Amino acid sequence: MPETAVRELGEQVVLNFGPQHPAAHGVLRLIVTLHGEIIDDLKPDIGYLHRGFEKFGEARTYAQFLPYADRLDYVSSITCGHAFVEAVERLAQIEVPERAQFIRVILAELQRIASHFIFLATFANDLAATTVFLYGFRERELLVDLFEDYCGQRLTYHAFRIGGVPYDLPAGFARKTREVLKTLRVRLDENDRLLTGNRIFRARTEGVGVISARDAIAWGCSGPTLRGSGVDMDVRRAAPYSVYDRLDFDVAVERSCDVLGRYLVRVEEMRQSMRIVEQALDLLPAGPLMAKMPRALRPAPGEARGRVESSRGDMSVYLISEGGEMPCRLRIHAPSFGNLQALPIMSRGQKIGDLVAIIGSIDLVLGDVDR
Amino acid sequence: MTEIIGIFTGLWSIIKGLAVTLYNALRRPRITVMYPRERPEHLSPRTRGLFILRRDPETGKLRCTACGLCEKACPSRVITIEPEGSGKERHPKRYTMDLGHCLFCHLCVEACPFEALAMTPEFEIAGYDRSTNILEFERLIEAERPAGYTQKELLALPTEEAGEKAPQPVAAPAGGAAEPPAEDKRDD
Amino acid sequence: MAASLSLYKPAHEWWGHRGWSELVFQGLWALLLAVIIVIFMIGVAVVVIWYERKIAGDIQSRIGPARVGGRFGVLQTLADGLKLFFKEDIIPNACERWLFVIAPFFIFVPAVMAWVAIPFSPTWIAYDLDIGVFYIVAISSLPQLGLIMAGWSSNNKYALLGGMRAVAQLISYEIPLVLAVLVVVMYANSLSMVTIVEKQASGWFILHPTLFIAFVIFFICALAETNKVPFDLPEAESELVSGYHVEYSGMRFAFFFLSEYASLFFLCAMATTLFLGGWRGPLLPPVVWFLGKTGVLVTLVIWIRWTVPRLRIDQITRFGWKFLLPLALLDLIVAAFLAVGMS
Repeated sequence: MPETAVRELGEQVVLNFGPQHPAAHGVLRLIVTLHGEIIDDLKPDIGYLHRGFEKFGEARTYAQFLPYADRLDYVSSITCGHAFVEAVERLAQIEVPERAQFIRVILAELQRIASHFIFLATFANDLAATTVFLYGFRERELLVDLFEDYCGQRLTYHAFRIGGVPYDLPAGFARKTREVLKTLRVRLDENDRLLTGNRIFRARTEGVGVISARDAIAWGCSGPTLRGSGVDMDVRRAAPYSVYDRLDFDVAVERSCDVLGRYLVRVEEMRQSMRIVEQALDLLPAGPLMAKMPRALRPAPGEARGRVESSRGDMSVYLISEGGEMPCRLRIHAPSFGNLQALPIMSRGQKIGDLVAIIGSIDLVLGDVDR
Repeated sequence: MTEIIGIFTGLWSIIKGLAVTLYNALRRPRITVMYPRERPEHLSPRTRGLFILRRDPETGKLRCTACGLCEKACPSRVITIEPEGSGKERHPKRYTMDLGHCLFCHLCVEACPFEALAMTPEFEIAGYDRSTNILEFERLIEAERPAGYTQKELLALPTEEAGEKAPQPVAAPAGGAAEPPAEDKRDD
Repeated sequence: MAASLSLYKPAHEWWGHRGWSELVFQGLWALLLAVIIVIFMIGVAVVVIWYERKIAGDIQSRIGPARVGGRFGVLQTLADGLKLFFKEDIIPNACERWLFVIAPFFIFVPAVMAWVAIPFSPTWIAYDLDIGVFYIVAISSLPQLGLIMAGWSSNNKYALLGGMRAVAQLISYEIPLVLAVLVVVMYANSLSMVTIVEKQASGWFILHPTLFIAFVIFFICALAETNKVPFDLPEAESELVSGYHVEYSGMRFAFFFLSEYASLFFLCAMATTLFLGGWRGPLLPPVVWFLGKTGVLVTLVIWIRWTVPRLRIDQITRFGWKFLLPLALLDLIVAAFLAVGMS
């Protein structure tokens, strides 16, 4: 049961929201100062899921840390692994073969779609459209089955290796993926009829949780949270990595700066990701899957940064090597941390009933925030 | 007036939503799998479940030579090996895996140069006690279990060809898409 | 049941023959009816809960309860009730103890009392009150008191918020509900539930345009009165963690839960009586028609519940006061003209 703070400052009431709360998206604790229904201020209290990744990374070799990278943002694990692998490959100047790059892009975009389905599900659940919660997970099962075909796991994949990918796409993968994407397009249209066009949904999300573009940039938002405020910023365009510069896709941007805008950005991103996957499957070249790698990877002393567009935003891994098997410093910049910083600005003046919608629209994963 | 129209369009949007729900309510089959009566039938061959130590089919001896490469590769210090003997007779006296820490990441299987370790699709490995997590190698080589796939076997499974619109490579690497040279994948 | 010519008369005569007190007989008969109604109410709640879970499962592409009591899980609710029965009865330390204990009864008892006036069939009605409609409307206001008592006495900010929201919502939707019922009363020219059903011999009331609007208003207000989505903010699980009944556990919680579903069935039964012709229908026995029509309305409520998201409290109150109330008043005026014109 959630605890309640007993202090009352005049007319203001301090309410403790979480860390155990059905709508807190993990172990998030918010200290909310209200008067009546209006939120005056909001202070996030994080750290309940801190697992010490950065310190841990200093005690493991690069290849050994990679399975752990999945557990940062466990909802979008492939992109976390991708960021780490990009960083190591830049550090050690490894050239990844083309086929591997395309496979990476396919998996990363499928992961983005799966992660956005979780967003859809949990966001709708917070607004009491419980059916969409189950539909979202039902759709995600189709994608997760594809991942299981590829690497054998359904949540924390360890799908990449330093220097490439471990396996080729299994036989029949392309055909299966295209079928799944066809089904998902139909289901997304259904979802639009069920939720997006729904008058009640619009009433709950339009004009709620507004953050201007300037504020969003100032507070470190990235990803769909930023693009929902009209800022056209996507790492796949701004600093292309892997083979994104060869693929044709649009970056979803909405100008409304509110919860509805962020929601629409994510739904549109799902469709664009499907486009990317289909293009990548068409363009998949023949070739090796792994670069030539030494048995024990000892990158030359230096620093490198791997930056990817995770489902939540701009995820970077910064590595400092001193020539050893293990990194000297592993720094992770997680997008949800910046997005969470913008939460007080979005919530001031809103009603407490809107708070849940706003938190849902930022799509927090506490594993990302706390590492 | 716009308010009144707004009411009707709002009502219509709700009715459209109800139609979607109705359509789904009549949709079959349902996605519930009545576990444990029904079990997932087709698990991918690459499924990373419980481990198995393989035997050489001709001699019947374990392939494991207690070289310790899997022990070194593991990120979570799951494997403990006590070797015995030397040279050709080297074998593990004790081979212990502490599954409580295992990530099921597959690095040990990839590290093994003798195809001695494999992961099977067996995922029902829960126990009532922490002691059931510690597996000695007697448990790991039980006979009536799915054999799983070692790294080489996994790489030998059929794979996808190049895409339809892929540009034809000018100088195609030998071996095409399926089987890269075996030595390149060790990156511990 | 009484006013039922089948059992009452012979029992009364048998009693009279013995020369026992008439007052005692009436008292015992009333007690018998009360017991029957309570059992019926709990039975109905059990069935409706199971039904809701099954329908929810269908809508969500999954099977609902399917283990307890055969392939259709019919004993699931019983198992859940049994579980609640054996749970520890936790009363928060700093709460208002007496209010906390009494609150569930303030919600449960009016729900039982209201069933007195519902006609299941031409002869099955607990008591044919001449002012049946008025009685029901009056009784339906009592649960609001129970809600605020539960919210306040729990000594929990979430519960208090939930309780206050619940009362705000219920008050907002009480008036349009009563006005919609008033339209029916005007057409039927009587407050007696039995007369209203009989007046629908020439056609169900819902077929008349003003009464159709009244039905829609009644239905929406029924959703609001029973805290069903889109009006379920008082017990919004994802926002207030069950709102006003967050501190209740075990059997006390079971009371809230049962009352909610029983009052849902009750309001659908009332809608059936007022608008859908009650027990009228060819071929099948009247009770079957009555329960069938009520079942259709309950299904509609469940269908809406699992489709639509939730409204915020200010949107709920705005909708009730600024839209439903004027609409109900307008409907009443038009219906008044038409009703006078008809007679």
